[in-house]
Amino acid sequence: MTQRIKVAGPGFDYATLSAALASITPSVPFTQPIVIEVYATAPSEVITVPSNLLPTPANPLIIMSLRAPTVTSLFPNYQLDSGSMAQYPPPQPRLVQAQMDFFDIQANNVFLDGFQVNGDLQITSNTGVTVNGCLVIGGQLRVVRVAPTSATILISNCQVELTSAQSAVRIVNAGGVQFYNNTILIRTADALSILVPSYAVEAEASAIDARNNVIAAAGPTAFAIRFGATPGTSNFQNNVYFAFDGGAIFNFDNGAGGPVTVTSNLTTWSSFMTSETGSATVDPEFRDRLNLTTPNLDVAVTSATLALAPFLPSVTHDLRGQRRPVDFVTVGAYEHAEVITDAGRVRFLQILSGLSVQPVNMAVLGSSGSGGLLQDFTSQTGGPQSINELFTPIPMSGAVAPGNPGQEGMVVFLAAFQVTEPIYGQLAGSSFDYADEVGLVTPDNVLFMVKRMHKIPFDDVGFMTTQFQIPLEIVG
Amino acid sequence: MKKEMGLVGWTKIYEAVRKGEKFLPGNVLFDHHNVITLFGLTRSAQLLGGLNTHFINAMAIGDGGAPQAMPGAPYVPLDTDTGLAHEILRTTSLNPTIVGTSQLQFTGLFLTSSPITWLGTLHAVNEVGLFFSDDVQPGTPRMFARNTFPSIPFDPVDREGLIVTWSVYIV
Repeated sequence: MTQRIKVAGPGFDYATLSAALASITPSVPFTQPIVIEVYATAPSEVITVPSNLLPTPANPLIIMSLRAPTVTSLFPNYQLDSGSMAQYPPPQPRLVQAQMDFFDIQANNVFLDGFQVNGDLQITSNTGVTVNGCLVIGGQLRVVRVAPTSATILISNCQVELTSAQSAVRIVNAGGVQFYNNTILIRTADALSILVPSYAVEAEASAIDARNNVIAAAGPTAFAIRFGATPGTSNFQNNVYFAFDGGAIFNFDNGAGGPVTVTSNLTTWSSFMTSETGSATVDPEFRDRLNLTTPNLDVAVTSATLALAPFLPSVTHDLRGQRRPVDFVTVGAYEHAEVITDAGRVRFLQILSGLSVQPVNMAVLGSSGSGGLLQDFTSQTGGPQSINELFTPIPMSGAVAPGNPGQEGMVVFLAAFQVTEPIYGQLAGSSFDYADEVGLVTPDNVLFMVKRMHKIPFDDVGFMTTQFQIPLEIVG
Repeated sequence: MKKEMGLVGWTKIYEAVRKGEKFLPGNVLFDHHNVITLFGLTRSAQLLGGLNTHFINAMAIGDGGAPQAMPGAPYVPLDTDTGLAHEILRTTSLNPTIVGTSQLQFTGLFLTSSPITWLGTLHAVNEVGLFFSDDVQPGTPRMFARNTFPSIPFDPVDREGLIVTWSVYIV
């Protein structure tokens, strides 16, 4: 049975959390999982998970931030330990985390989820640690061991920004770190007080598995990556690297006094990091990377990061708690491969209440060029069509709502596009020679949902028939 | 892997205050989230995909949401519920309104002057539900969501009526 500890609520004092941690009998292996739920926005203090705690893989220590809007909007009947997201007053943004000034994980088998750390987030333990969905602002996310060691650490869905340290992420002497779906930006302008150069990710460790990340630098003395170790056991795949404002992307050596190579050429980097595959050196299109105090590192819907990489089973959601698709996901901390539009949300509510009788029963293929279907339909008032629609909407072959136990709100949309001679003529006249979006549409041309996918070439008629099954589950 | 779209319902019950020929919301008597039923989720999926056309069009209140002996301690509504425990009044005048891009609000008015068959001697309401247009109680229950609450006296000597606003949010 899981033990839950109330440690927070309106007017919460972080001393309560320290007391809660102190109340756990140290030096005795946990006989049950312990979940510490934290909800607070202020004050920010230090939390240390002491190394003498002995969580086990079967009985971990889980410290999670209950995500909620600002404390001022708390519902009077709010109960921290309700165990239900439904206790939050609607609407329920799941973006804001409890805040800390410094988080230090010293014990093994600790799961940390959903904190905003206004300083450093440090991991000095080496087994069974997961840090997920954390926003590190101004400080450094680091995994640091005194001596080289094999570690089992997963860092996923984290964003590091406004770093004033020399590197935003630093991994030292800790082989075995899995670094998945993170968004990291280092800006020289944020680190004027420190020695140059600076790095978004700095690794002096082997066996690092870095996949599906956005790693970027901004400023003439900034690098996206510094890798100073033997690369042979590391694995870098499906990342987006970029350097803005005169910086360079890669800075690497073998960690043994070998020559330092500085380059922005992915091929050169790949000759060193031979595992490298699927990555790109393109602008990730942050929504606002220049803001000095509150940059927005979410990406535009036109970003090359969308649907770029295969799904990783250990990263099922994004930083905001949105589920990631199982085929191809957006790299970085924010998922956009599937988008339910605002117009689509409104239409669903209209259908639910009888204000509309136009359900989602058509599909359209499109190209993400020039903003894609999202931009296209936003400005559209009805009627076919526009440059980004490679097919005009076709009736879907159907939808299935099986209503199976545990999946009562499931609906699976079925669409099949068949290339016929007239359609080929339509494709030939298109500005684009590929499709990389499928949209779900209503008969009156409301775009409900867009799913980004890998490109389907049209120049040689890359398919005759292509079929999609797009599942959506409405959950309570 | 499927895309998920979350639904949350929120019930707010007001004192109905007469102003001329109209009733306006007065004091808030209850304000809490509710349970969307498993059937409600299934029907929502069907409506979205064009597999069904029976939308939400009715709201009902009842007096079976709490024990007669403990009217202030309501039963916990379950997602397997198919109707109210004891329905006393129903309205299909809900005035559905879309607020922004993620909120759907229904409003129902219930008057104590209506003819009511009570479950017992307690003249108070303690449960409320939203229903699809093909709901038949009993027989073919089609309830979207239900809530229970500490009993609110519902007799002409207590008040003229209650206004229930029920918001459904996409989250």
